[in-house]
Amino acid sequence: MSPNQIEFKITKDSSAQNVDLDNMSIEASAAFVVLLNSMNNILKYYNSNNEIKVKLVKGSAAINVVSTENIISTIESDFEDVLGNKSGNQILVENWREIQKVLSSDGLEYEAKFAYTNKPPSSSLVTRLRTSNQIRLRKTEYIFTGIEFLTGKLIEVGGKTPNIHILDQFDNKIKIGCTEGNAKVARRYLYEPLYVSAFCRTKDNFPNLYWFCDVYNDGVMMNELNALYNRIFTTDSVVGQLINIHDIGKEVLEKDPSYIMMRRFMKMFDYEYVDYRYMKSLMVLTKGIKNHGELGGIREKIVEKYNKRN
Amino acid sequence: MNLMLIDESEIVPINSTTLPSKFVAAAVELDPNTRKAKHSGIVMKHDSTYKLFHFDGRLWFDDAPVNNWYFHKRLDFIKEEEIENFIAHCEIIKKESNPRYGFYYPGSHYDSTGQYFSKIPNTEFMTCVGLCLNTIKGFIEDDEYFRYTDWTIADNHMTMSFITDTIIGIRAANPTLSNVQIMEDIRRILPDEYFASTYLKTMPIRKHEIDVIIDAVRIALINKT
Repeated sequence: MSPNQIEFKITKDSSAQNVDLDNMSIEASAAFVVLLNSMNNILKYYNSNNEIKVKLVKGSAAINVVSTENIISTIESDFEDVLGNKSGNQILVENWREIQKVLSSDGLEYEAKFAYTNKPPSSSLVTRLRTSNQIRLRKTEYIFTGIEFLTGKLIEVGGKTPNIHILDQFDNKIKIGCTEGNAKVARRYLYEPLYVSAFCRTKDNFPNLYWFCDVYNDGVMMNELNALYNRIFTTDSVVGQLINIHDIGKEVLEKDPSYIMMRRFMKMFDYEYVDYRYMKSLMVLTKGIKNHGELGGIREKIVEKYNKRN
Repeated sequence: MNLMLIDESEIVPINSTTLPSKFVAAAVELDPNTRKAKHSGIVMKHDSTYKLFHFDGRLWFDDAPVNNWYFHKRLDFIKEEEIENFIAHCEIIKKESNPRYGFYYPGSHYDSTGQYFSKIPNTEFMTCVGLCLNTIKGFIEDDEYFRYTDWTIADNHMTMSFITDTIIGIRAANPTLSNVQIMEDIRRILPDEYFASTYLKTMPIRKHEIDVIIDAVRIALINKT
């Protein structure tokens, strides 16, 4: 009779050898640690009464999370929400996503399921996680998703709350919030082609919110800045992204002593919803030029926003 | 003795289970016989792992060893939320810098590009404490971390041969400097002075403030088992 439990097992390594806790390859142990860590983080959310036990099973590389039928059912039900991208719980989503990444990667073979004493087990979690799109958080409030680089014709400027409207190549009208100063400058370019970047925030079933970041002379310059921005995200690791900010910033500073590109690069961090860690990296990067007139001014605005967040 | 001056319980081993999940802290290595601080570094905890950044003539950024290393509570001015930034800062310095050993500190720092900023060029000479000061100063917003001029060539019993080696090394890197110019910035801030500085609440760190608590810190380290 099976206890009520969640079972994860690494069955074979990449050379098709059985995996045992006593004898794991580096890749198997790395996967095992991620599974254990992520599961622990998930369980912290439920374990209010010390009713959940985690067992590491020898003779294989297995993690069994044992509890009452009620708790295992609740975890399974929440898992269904997470898998359907219906969960707004960041801890659950992030940790199930880590598990999804591990189970979906090539090399190792796994078994995973919810098992019950008095009812049939779930279908294989491995198959379901592998065949699903990447798990993501249901957005119940606006979340900053990054900078978008937009091309179109400027068709409207103004409003009580200042904004500009551009018509993109697909005839979509995009409204971008901005300062009064930005709007006054933009008015000169009415009905002209425009190359702009905007900070974007999104929420499920609501239109995107944009806030003006920068305007470029032409598409070439815009694409150059777009490429620099994308380079930050060539790794999933936050530390890696912060090192990328350093590498890009250093390259920009060295290539362009007039600081034109640096000014534009810095502007990409001057927004209250930008990840504060990116802001901090930029602050450290530019500490040596904080007394530079124009760059110092942009830096000061970023420092102000950073201090408000922390 | 001196219990009123510092809270000894804040000096804890690297593997203590009572610590928060993320922090950056000053670390010292103790001589196993004398229990005196003989070496220093910066320890950080993130994702359940401890990393130690230190310099002994070679720059290291590895998993922190447990034996004989103690650290103080988190460096309060580096926030828990900044841990990834600090790790990235150390990674970059490790990759980009080229320090050499010498009793020299001219108020310099490493910026986020790993570049060594000094009022005097081509003088990337430092001790283990120097690396810590250069690293931390480059990370914080303040322009001044230690009031380094509080320490002079007359302090801390540097041997003449070490001083001479430092001067020869710096002159080889920057022949335009005279011996006198170099000697102005020959100084040695001791590992336990750097460690004691974590008890002080205001910047810049002043030597006379460290002098008040240094004996209490030394006794606390001796008493740690």
